[in-house]
Amino acid sequence: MKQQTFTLVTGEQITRLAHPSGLTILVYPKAGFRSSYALFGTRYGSIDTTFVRDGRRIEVPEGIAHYLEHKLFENEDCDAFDRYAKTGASANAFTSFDVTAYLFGCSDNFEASLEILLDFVQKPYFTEQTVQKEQGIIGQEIRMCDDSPERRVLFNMIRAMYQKHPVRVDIAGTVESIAQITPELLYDCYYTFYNLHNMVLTVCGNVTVEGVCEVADRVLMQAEPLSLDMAFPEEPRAVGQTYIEQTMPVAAPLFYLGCKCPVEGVFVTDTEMMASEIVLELLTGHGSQVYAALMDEGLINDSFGGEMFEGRGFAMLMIGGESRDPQAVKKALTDEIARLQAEGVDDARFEELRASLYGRLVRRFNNVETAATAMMDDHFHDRDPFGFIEAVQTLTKADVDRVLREWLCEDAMTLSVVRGKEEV
Amino acid sequence: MEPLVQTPANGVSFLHIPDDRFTTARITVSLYVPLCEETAGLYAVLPYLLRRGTRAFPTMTAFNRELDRLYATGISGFVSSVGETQIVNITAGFLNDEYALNGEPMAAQCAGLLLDVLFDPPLENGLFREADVQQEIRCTLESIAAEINDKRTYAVSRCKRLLCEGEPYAISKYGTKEQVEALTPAALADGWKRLLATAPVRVVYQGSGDAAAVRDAIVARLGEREVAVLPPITTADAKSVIARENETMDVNQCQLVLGLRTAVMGDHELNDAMRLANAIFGGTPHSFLFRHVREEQSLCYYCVSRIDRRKGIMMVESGVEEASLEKAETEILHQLERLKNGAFTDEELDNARLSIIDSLAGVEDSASTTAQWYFTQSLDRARTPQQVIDAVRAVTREQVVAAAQTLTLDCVYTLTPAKKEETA
Repeated sequence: MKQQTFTLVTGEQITRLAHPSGLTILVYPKAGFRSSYALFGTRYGSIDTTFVRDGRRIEVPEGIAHYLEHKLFENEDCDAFDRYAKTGASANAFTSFDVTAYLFGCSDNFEASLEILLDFVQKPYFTEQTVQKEQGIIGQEIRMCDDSPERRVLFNMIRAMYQKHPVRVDIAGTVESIAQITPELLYDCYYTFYNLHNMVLTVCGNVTVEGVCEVADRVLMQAEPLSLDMAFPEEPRAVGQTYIEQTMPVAAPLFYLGCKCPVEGVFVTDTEMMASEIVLELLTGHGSQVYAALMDEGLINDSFGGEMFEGRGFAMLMIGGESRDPQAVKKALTDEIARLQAEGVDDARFEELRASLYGRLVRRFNNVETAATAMMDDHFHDRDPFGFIEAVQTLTKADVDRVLREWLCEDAMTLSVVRGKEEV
Repeated sequence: MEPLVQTPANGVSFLHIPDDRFTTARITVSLYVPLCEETAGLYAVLPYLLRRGTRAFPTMTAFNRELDRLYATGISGFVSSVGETQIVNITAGFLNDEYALNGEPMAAQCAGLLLDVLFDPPLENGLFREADVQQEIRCTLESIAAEINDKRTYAVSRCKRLLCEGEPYAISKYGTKEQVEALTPAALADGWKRLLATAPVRVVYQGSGDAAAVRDAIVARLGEREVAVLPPITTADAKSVIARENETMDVNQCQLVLGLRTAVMGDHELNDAMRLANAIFGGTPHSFLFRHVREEQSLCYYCVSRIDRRKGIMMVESGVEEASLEKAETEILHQLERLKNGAFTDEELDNARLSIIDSLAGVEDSASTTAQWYFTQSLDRARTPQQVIDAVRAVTREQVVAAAQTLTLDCVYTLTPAKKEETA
């Protein structure tokens, strides 16, 4: 079995294995820990709405990846939660734009729980009746999301920002789109994307490489080699709409200002990621002048913050929060961006933020849950476990200036606002 | 790893957890006051005002740039409430000395900043500065108003108010809009001095560094003082007639929250049995509520029960269609009757026990869950997770049934969609 080892700043090691079944396995044993965390994920999410299978071009209803995630918990003879009930593990799953993952955390009986995880995800069982039953449950999940202003303001921003890329489609779909889901469509998706060559297992905590391999050898079924035709339509640089608004019951307007980033290849580079983090701190960090000015003017509060968000074929810088006047916040931020583009980043501030970023990365693997999740994210984004910390050590002011000048253009920005009715 | 509890002097309890498994250390200082109408708003604003800076770093910008230089040290102030106690918290989380790139004495320096935040804020004529005060009042008012944004949390807080009307438990940790608006620099300075002079203090030091020096510094800076005694938590029987409150809003999904009372609270001998009763009823994905209300009847995405063992309260939360409200409530109460009648198998009891023990066993594997654990334990009766595990192991079926039988429905809160003409 091909094996590669990465040593972290703590001296701990992460082992990456190419299992003969086709699955990539990453194991991070943590000395002195009682608990463990495991994720079994596939490179498949809501954006994978059209694909080629057996020579057929298939277009599937919006929200099907998430629906499949729900239904996979039911095997022919039992429910995965019933099996986990006997090990004590706490299990869950999630679907994002480009990944679906099944996971559990536990303090005892790790190997028995790992066996359940690897087993049930490999055994789909969909019938008319079981598929039908889920409509009510997911219908209520969609309604819950429809009533969440935090989620609406974000998803509206993405939909307005992207013109072609399927990231513009909501992860859960709609009550109407999920009504079209059939067992046949679920099987088509399952057999296309739940191929071990397209998947990863990440494990962290009270585990050993040998213990994980022993379960994997026993439970994993050999997968056929895989070739996936997953090209997305080319995305224009400019956003579809520069402004989008929705009315909902909220106390004060919520907003997101998003900037669509150019993605050459599938993902942005490690250096670009780190430079983006510095840019976000310059614009939203509590040590920045623009943050103090916006606070003094009463335009933002503790909910203000920024995030770099990326996936297969998309990347965006987003800044959001609550404000009585989102347009004024946008104006202050774009003025500050223009100043930084003209003057460049201050030397002392750059070094402070580089130290801060290093500090955040050193904390990144402190808990078994966050470590296993970061390992999966990194794997699906084609990154090595220490890629970020290396990038931050070699990061220059020029890298930050490039992101500022080339990415933060006004025609690549969307302002999304959710406001209460009485203010309209 | 047995934590060491010390009570050096003057109402300070000090807990040292010398944990070397993390790259970071954390110090939490918590000051306890009774949750009451007159002072809730004051103690809600105070921690946010304090974390703005110190005499040495008197502006938010200067203070946060120092934190950036110190590798993203996090110094935060926040208010919380547990039972009928309001807690003013100041925490510092920082890298261990060995990860500092320039040899900074991290633990000593960050502990110094934490103490300065608490004891040496930037004052003018002995008072907090007017501009700082106005900004934090505004932010707290915005937090109070924003409660409406998350419909589930909002519904739970409305139900809590209906359940415990007139008791301190129903008071928000932020106080009321009117109390917060009325605050002045002088009132806040008085409140701060009174807090330091009288509040019981708990310090939790997790990780490496000179914990004894921090303990001694805190005791010395507090000086001689008269420590207040916190009042015991109030109790009440369930209302003789079930109270109902319905509110309408422009939403898609209904929120259904049931409030229940129990005499099992505080040191009651059935307290650990109640943990098990709750897990069987609605605390896990193999509970009665999950299986029957969600999976079998397909009525909702979530239906869970939570208990507050300090207060003797249970809340059941669900999000459902308007047409299913009655059916969901009936089914929840039917499952409650089954629990009271002991209609659970030995396997269901074992599974619930396993699930609780598994999650307790992992508490100390994360610095934040460890801090949270000791933070919610009563001041004079802190138990370790292992002590609770031992107690949970000893609970019998009869005790679970006896605990369940004390549960009585007190009130039902619903949030339903406004009719079209009401929202126009």
